[in-house]
Amino acid sequence: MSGIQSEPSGALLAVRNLVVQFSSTRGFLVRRHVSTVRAVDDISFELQQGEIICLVGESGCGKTTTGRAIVALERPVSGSIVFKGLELVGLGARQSHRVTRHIQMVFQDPYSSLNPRMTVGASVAEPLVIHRVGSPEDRRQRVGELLDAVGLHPESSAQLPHQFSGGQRQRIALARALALNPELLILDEPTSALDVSIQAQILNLLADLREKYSLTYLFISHDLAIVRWLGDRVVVMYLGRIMEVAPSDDLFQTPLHPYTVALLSALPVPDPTVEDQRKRIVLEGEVPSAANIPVGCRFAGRCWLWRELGSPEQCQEMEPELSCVAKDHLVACHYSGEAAVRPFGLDPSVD
Amino acid sequence: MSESGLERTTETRLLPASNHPGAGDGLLSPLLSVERLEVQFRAKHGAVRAVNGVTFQVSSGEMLGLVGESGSGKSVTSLAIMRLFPRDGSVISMGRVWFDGQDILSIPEPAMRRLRGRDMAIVFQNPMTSLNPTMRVGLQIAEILMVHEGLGRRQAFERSEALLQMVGVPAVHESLAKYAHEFSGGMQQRITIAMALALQPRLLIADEPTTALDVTIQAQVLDLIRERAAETGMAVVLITHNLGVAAGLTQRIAVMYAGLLVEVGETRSIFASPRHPYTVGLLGSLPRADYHRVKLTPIPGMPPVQVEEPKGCPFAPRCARQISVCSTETPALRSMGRQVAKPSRAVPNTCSHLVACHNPVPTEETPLMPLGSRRD
Ligand SMILES: Nc1ncnc2c1ncn2[C@@H]1O[C@H](COP(=O)(O)OP(=O)(O)OP(=O)(O)O)[C@@H](O)[C@H]1O
Ligand SMILES: Nc1ncnc2c1ncn2[C@@H]1O[C@H](COP(=O)(O)OP(=O)(O)O)[C@@H](O)[C@H]1O
Ligand code: SF4
Ligand code: SF4
Ligand SMILES: [Mg+2]
Ligand SMILES: [Mg+2]
Repeated sequence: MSGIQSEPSGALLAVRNLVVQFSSTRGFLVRRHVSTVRAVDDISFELQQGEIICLVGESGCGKTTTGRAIVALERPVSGSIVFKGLELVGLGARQSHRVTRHIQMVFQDPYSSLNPRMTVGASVAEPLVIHRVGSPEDRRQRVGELLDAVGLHPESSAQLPHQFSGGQRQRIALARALALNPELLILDEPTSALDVSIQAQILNLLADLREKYSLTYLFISHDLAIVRWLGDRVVVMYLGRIMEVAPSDDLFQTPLHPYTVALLSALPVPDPTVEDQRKRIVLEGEVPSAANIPVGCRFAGRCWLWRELGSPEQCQEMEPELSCVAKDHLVACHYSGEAAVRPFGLDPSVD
Repeated sequence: MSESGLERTTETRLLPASNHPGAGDGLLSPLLSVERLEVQFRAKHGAVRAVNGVTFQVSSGEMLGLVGESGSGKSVTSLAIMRLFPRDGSVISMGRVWFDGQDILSIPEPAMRRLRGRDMAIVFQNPMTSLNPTMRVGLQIAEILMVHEGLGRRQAFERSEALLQMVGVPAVHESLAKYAHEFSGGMQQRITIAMALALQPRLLIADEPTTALDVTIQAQVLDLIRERAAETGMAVVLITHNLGVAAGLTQRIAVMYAGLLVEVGETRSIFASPRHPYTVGLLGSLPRADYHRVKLTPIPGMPPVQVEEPKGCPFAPRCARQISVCSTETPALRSMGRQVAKPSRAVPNTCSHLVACHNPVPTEETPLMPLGSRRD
């Protein structure tokens, strides 16, 4: 993993060789071990203070699990997670509690992330209560500000979550996560349940907050349009492994991994002229099960480049390492140079 | 400022209250014609409005995109068209829905059931809405064929196998014997599409068919719908909140807000010169992968939680172009004239650009950069 570990200093968060596994068991009385799912399979990346890094990939590729591991909701099998010089893996409960104040996570499912019996105001205030911040009056005022910031009427405070739409509930969750002014926000598809007009408000809000408080975001998404808009750097995951890491501009202009190329080409663009002129690479098949990761390159079964190159054996025999191929641009593909010359379809002027 | 838009406006009644929609305007008679559709739900304290008077047509071979935010009434419109509401008086549908000359809202249930199976089909966002979790997939498809086409068991299963093959389900033979939960979401959606297409409907309503799917699988499923539509000439109403999906697939787009249609037009025209402030706002809200960090201009406020009885323009509370008449008179859909000289996709139906607004955005203020001309 050449390029990554070069700068152990300054990073706000450094994830190294992280592995998270789930054992699935089957059978009612005798719990019999059946299979192990490697949800996150040896990934490393760093977040600099104030940066927005986006974690993208299809569902099941391990994005959420990565986020949950960082906030200590999953216990890694191996690897390390260092936040401001402090190793988080294996931390005791008390210390862990102190750190989580600085790292907050917003989950993707707005229906299960809020306590249905707690009023909105109480939910948003809860982190403040737990961490003993402010007087009850201060808290009430802060709750009002937070609700306003996420686009909810302050009167919503007295209502219960079930009275809100999915989108509104996600805004409540966002208000709650912002309550403690965290340094690092892990946002797990926070706008996937929102309407586009509200999504735009939240995206602008997230961008503003980042500027204002020099927040750092780990933004998990499968929506590349948002990633392009928001992200400074992008990490592309596939089946538990990182395929490509690059600054947003580089990734969208010169994607070097065939999977990234295909993702970009599948992305619908709200512009009929562009849509009519684009070429698409429609990937065949589906992501293989994480319980049964193919040997060699795990993308080979769906890789258009591999087929185009005449199915070279190397791809099936050797797992490509994530390595630095250009400045700040890491790719895990034996033939990344080949993918680069293909137009990915977002630019209508390229033929 | 309103004049620039209104000068060119010609007041047109969308549809004469005739019983033969489309007749007389020299156009191909549309397959589906929805006229002033209203849907209300009976609630404890009066009626809850969901759709407030929606009028549009779809012709054979056409793909119409119905776009709008959550709660705007897209799904309720489609359920009313399919007449899938309980018939116990708890849901009231008013207006007319013509399908191939029949008034769907008034025909008897057995006739409707035949129509629903054979001529009109619907695919939902969540495939499990249409799939029976306790029945093997093969039998579910075969049953449709046995009931509607009177096929024998053997034949029905053979056809089911062919259908699954057509929608790209792998290992077809084994798949027939599986239960729905044994498939991924993308495969489940393919199966519901196979079921919907089993009787070769003339109209397919696809209600957010790919919203729950990953982008690479979404591309596969949309390709499948596009392909089947092109091959069979069926009309498709594609409900989506993803304007990118609508841009790539549809010939016409109808934009819905608070139970009303606010803008209807050719897809190119809607994107190139949106005239309704809401449509302009929607487009300004979209982060685009091909436009880097162009500042988003979201619509202030939020969509109404509950659809109100139309009194004035429903968008007025969020609209920067509001003028005095907006709060008193609900604007009707009016023709802005045809704005795209040369459509690139065949648009079989009436092509005018309709906008329901007292003060439409002038074309020169259209917020987007020249189409496809900019890249970082
Ligand atoms: N069974 C019902 N009883 C009462 N109100 C309902 C019912 N179904 C829908 N509504 C209301 O009707 C309105 C329109 O709902 P609809 O489901 O058509 O929205 P939609 O445009 O499909 O939204 P989405 O994008 O979220 O699917 C909403 O205000 C909704 O709350
Ligand atoms: N609690 C769990 N038990 C078993 N498997 C899990 C659990 N959580 C996630 N997984 C599996 O781990 C993989 C990665 O999941 P996840 O991190 O949720 O993906 P993403 O967020 O990218 O969609 C998937 O194969 C998923 O099925
Ligand atoms: S290593 Fe081979 S199979 Fe894997 S992405 Fe590169 S070309 Fe495709
Ligand atoms: S009718 Fe008036 S309030 Fe409604 S969208 Fe047009 S300008 Fe805005
Ligand atoms: Mg996830
Ligand atoms: Mg709906």
